[in-house]
Amino acid sequence: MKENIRNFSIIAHIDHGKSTLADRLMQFTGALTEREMREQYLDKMDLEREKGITIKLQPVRLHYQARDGQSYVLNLIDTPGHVDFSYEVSRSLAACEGALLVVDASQGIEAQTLANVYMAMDLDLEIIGVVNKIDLPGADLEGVQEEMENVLGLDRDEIIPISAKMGTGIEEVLEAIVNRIPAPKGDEEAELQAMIFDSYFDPYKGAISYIRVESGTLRNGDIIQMMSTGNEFEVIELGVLTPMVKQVESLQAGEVGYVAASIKNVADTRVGDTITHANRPAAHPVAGYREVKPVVFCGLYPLENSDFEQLREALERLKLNDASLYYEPESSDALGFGFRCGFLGLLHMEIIRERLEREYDLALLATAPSVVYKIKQTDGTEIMVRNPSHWPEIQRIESVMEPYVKASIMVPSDYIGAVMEFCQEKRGEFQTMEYLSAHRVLIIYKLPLAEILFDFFDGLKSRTRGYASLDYEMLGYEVSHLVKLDIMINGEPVDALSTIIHKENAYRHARMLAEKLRQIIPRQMYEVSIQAAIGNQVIARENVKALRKDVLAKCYGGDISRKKKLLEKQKEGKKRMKQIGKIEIPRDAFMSVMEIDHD
Amino acid sequence: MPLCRLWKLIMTRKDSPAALYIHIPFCVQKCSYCDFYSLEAWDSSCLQSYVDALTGEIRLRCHEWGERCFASIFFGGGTPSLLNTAQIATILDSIYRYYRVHPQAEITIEANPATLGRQKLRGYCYAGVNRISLGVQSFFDDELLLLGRIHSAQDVYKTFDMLRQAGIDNINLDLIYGLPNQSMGRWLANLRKAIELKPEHISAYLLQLEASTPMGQQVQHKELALPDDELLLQMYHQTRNLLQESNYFQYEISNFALTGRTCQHNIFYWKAYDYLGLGVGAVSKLGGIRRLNQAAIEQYIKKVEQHELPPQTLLESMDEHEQLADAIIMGLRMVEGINRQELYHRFGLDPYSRYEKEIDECINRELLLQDGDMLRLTEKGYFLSNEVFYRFLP
Repeated sequence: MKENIRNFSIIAHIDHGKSTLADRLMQFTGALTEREMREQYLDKMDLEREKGITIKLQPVRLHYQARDGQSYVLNLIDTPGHVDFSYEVSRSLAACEGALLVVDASQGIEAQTLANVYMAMDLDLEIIGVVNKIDLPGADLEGVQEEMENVLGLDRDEIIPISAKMGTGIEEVLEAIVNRIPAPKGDEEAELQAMIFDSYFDPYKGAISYIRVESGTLRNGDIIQMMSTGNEFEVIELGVLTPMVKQVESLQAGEVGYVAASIKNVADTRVGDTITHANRPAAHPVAGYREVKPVVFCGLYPLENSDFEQLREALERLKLNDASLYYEPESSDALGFGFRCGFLGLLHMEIIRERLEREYDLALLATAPSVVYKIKQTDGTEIMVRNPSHWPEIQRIESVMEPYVKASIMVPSDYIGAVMEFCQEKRGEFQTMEYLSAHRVLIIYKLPLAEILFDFFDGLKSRTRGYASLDYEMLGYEVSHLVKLDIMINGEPVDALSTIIHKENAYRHARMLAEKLRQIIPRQMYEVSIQAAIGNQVIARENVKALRKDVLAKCYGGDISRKKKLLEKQKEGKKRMKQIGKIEIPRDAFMSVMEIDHD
Repeated sequence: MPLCRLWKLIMTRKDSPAALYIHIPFCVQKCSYCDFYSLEAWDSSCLQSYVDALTGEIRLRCHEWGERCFASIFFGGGTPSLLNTAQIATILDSIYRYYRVHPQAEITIEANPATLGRQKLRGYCYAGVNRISLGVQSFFDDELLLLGRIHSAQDVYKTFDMLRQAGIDNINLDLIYGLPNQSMGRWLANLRKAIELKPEHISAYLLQLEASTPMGQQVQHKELALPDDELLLQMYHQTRNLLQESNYFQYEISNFALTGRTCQHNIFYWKAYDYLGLGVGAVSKLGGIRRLNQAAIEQYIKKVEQHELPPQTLLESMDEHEQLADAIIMGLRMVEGINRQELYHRFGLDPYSRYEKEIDECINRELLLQDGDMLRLTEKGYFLSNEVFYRFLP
């Protein structure tokens, strides 16, 4: 039975056609009838569809009648498509024996794809190269095949050209999966080892884990144990997705499915953790588990202070579904009560914020995102600072450390100069450069995480006409010359506008930030003074003049309705303001402190 | 609906006075700052068929408005003074025939100084017109040129003399300030020249540009520069001072008059009373409903010729709360402000309790002043009145 199972993922860059290919595979194998066929079935959440990326994973079981006459079970394990979620990708890949590498015939390999392929190779997966979109006018099949051979060592004759959109080459892909990807190994009789590669929260069944059984057999009613925590649960439901939910009695070594065990919180079903039997535990868990730690933090505050409790409930509920989300209550002198929230990256942050606003109907103000700084104080203690307003006073700081990453940038060789100049501006330290083919290079830089997080990729793309692709991995903490820049509005420090910046850029940054705030803060009844300061020293200042004129000089019978519409707009604008003392500050101002362009 | 409310509704409809507006959408030449509906290409037969259509609409709307007593009739535009005596008389005759008009009704016609002659003027008066609103805008030819006006400063003086000679004792002069590059001295000179003529009423408007107008475009493309807000504010307060010193009392943000000479027509708008608008592009308000006669002249004429009402667009349909907001926003434009008791009687809602927070905010910001049952803008509040008004939107 196990010999006829194939577990595989699809690795692809955004827009290279992963979801379309997945749809085609499902259609070809009859997993979805025409009526059930929704375009891009795997991307379930509205947000995923809108952003065109996969956030939550979903394994699908396909039945395929191969040319050799035998029937195979193919488990397609989806992977998220963004660098914020690279740990999740690694766990999904670890659940497979093979992977389809899908590359756009007109784009070539991208940095993130490459990172994921390397990850798959490290896990000993069989890689099947697929070149997609060969029907498009700009397709360069041979060029891309050559690149895949040079860069990844794939045999160019084995790379399959397809057009997922037109439906050509799909059967060849399915045959390759059957013939080239090895069947899973593992003893059904051995101790149970089932790795969780994703989990989500179901309001009726509790936390549901998607698992890959490595060894042993999991049955309904079994008492299971989470190996990282030792917590025990009773299995109440096992099943597979075809992609419709189908309950099963057991899942054996090599199989992929889901398990429900009345688990109240997804924090008990951590991605990468191993499930075993409570009465007959495995000797050791599946390797590769680690606790996911958020790297970006920001304050989330309700625009209306009275919405605080609602925000707390919403975060609690989102947390049920997203173990990587971190939050703790905090208060700000300027903004009142809110939460300091931690995310895997900026995209993750944006998604959570949008979900809070959309699904829970909250109007939120997000403060500028920050990484976690490590500060050695003069008294010898070391603290982690994830909120700039908790930065110690200058005289108490011995040294400051910030997280660094190793960034891999792939780009056509014409743009080497532009990329290096850009990385240098971002406080980067050149590491190596490598030619992938005659025209493409891989450039490695060491960069502060804080520089990578904020509009780095946008800047990189605009300097390379969109050709650059980026991936990064954490390196650790290093000493850095950082200071806290405070903003004072009418002499009062606004804690939520404080940022941490490199000392060398401080003056320029402060001037630009003050100038930007002057533009963003609308004229008010009173003059508003904006000062940027490091410690007690004011290094930039601007004034917003008092509002002098806001009047409709003429208003008669014919245009009352129209004039009222103008007032309506004005009122809407005010709703997006946060009242701080007597001053109204647009909520965008809080994010804008990160969006200073140094050009 | 409870009987008492229904009764009140009938009472309001039947007995409360209303105002009547007639839109004449023709101009010799469109002004560079104007975005009203008006046409430049027309001939005398076009004017005549429009006047015929207007009399048709007057007849057609009498079922709805015939019971109401009109305390004001106002010919606006466009340039209503393009109509000849007979045409104005025809329109007024139909109004008297189909509607009730108060014996002391104010009957105003807006006039362009370059379009009035002695004969025409006498005819207008004979037909019943008793107030003239003269679109002067400026007493300087360079400013008039910039504004795209067809008259000269000389025309203004000539026309004004003519009006007085014809015995018209209720004249308004419209002026605009805040023109591109206008200095304080220039504006005050304008204002003094207006005062010297001793009209009964002066409207002094801050130039308000819509982006769609030629001048709006020029400003957007930085070919023209408007005075900065600080100067405009000073111009406004100097205007108020100068006019009040000369016995013109301010009664609305932009309007000043000698005692007893306020414009009755506009007060209907600001008190959010009902008004009937006739002609293309005219707006009517009846209770909580505002409707617009669609701005397409051919269709308008065709429909009325077929004895059908011209096509309308519903602009607003307000419940009591929205009507209250409407009455506050309009009412606060007037210097006397709004009266709590009056609004309570009209809408069954107490504005003070409904808008307690908003009123407090405005009082704290020195924009509003409360005086017993009256609530009014402060001097500071006039030029910042939108900061007050938006808060009262429902």
